[in-house]
Amino acid sequence: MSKTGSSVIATPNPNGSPATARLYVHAFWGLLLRDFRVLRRELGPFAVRVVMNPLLFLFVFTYIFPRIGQSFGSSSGAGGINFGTVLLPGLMAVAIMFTGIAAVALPLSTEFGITREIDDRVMCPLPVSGVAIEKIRFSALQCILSALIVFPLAYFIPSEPVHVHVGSYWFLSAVVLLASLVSGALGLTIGTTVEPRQIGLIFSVVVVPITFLGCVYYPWALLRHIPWLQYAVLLNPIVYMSEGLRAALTPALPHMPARLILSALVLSVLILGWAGIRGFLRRVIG
Amino acid sequence: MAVDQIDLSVPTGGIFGLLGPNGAGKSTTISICTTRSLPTSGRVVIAGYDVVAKPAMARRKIGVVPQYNTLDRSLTAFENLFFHCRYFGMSDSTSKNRAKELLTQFRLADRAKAFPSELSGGLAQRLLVARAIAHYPAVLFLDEPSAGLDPQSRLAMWESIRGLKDQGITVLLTTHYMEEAEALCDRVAIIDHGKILIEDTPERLKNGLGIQTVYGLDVQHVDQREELATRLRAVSHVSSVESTPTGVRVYTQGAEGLLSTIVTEAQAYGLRDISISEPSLETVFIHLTGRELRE
Repeated sequence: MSKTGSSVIATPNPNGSPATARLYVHAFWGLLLRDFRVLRRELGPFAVRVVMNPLLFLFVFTYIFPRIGQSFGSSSGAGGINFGTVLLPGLMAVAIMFTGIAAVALPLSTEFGITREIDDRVMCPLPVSGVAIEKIRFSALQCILSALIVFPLAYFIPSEPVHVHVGSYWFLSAVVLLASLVSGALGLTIGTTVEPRQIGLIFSVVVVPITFLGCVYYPWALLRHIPWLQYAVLLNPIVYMSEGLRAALTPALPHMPARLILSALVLSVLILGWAGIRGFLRRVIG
Repeated sequence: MAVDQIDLSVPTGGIFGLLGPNGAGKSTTISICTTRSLPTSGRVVIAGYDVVAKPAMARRKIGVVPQYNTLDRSLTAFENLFFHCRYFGMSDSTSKNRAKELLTQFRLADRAKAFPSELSGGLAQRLLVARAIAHYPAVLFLDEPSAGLDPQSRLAMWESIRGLKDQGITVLLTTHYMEEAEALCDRVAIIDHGKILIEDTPERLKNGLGIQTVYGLDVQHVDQREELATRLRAVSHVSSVESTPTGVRVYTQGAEGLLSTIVTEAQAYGLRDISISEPSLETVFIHLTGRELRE
């Protein structure tokens, strides 16, 4: 063991090269720390962004409607289970998806386009794909946070009781984690392929349709009445997020088999992750 | 093709300038050297690392100040430096100290808590330089470091760049300002249409071509400029004369009284305007390319 060798590495201006892996881990950690700092500063707006949509949705459809005698949703054919129970997993899925897009796609599109402020992070000693993966990971963390924020809202606001039963916490964790990664990867794909001035359009053309057709407000099984739609929506990754949370949290509702859900989520992470990282590399390397 | 067969070897220490007009291929060269563009062929080695084969390792040795402001808008001036250090593997306390040290060195200490949007162009540029050297790179790339700066900020920037040289950092800068290359660089490569035309110290570049003063003459009888050129070539101390769209350009090896001889000759052709370029990199560039740098 040479003492001089290690002291050379410990100096701020090392002549020897530290193990590449250690270098990458440090850079990756630095990027995460930076994102945490930014998130901490914007925690208020972040919470408002996450809470508003489900709060109003729940308030109108599960609090006001039952009280004013509108029976919207309650006789939905979901085995007599009330609309609040249907909404709980669905709104969590929407929160996860919106957060992923807001956390990655929106900032990335300006960082690449107008300010090019991504440059410094891209120039850190980490392969560029590592910077892209950090984006997905950090956004996944925000997605998990937003799902945790939405859960109590969706549980307590409805005027009729919401039936939650968690059979396996492992399955629930796997679904939340995978759904969050899908969402981060989707955000990365959108953020790297869409020009900043088109990002509003993308919300109308992509985000809103995949939400409404993502089995958020109804279980997938009930789409059997419209067979073409039931098969068409299988291309939509949000379907597996909502169905996954439904299977994990409100299993009394009809839902897809767990194995199919997990496989589809893993496949979505791989496809969207690949597309997002490719897009990121294309934007960064000339 | 933006860059073609550039073959340069930049010595360590000192300031090296890539001088050329806009679109000459300066920025492309920098993007390739800094791992941001992949060359179709060729090799760049920075402090022992091949930038194509080992980009992440090469980045440890590189600092980059791009043409545009790429400061992280979500972080303060201090945090921009602090997190940059963290990306390069420094510990929390080392990063804090380094960030403070740089803020002081670049006279930004009182703006530590300012966000980039609150900094003027000159201050933002200084912070960009500070950030680029925060991880002790061996080579610092500066792409048009004083573009868009007011004269006072430009002088301050030059001062900072000279300071970096004293710290032992090799600086490679691109510029299309002759004065900047002359004021700062130990060696200059002149680049045009993606090719290096010549590379040497500014002194040798200016003297080596045997040119001291260039006179640009605009005449009314442009159609007769060849005749004027022939007459001027006969004048002693005139080394060469070439036609331009508006008259002729006279390269001389300066001698007292030459100006009046040239003016007398040109008056017969309706001399309208005369420009005199004292020996400078501008005259070198004109001589090499037959046009002015800012045309």
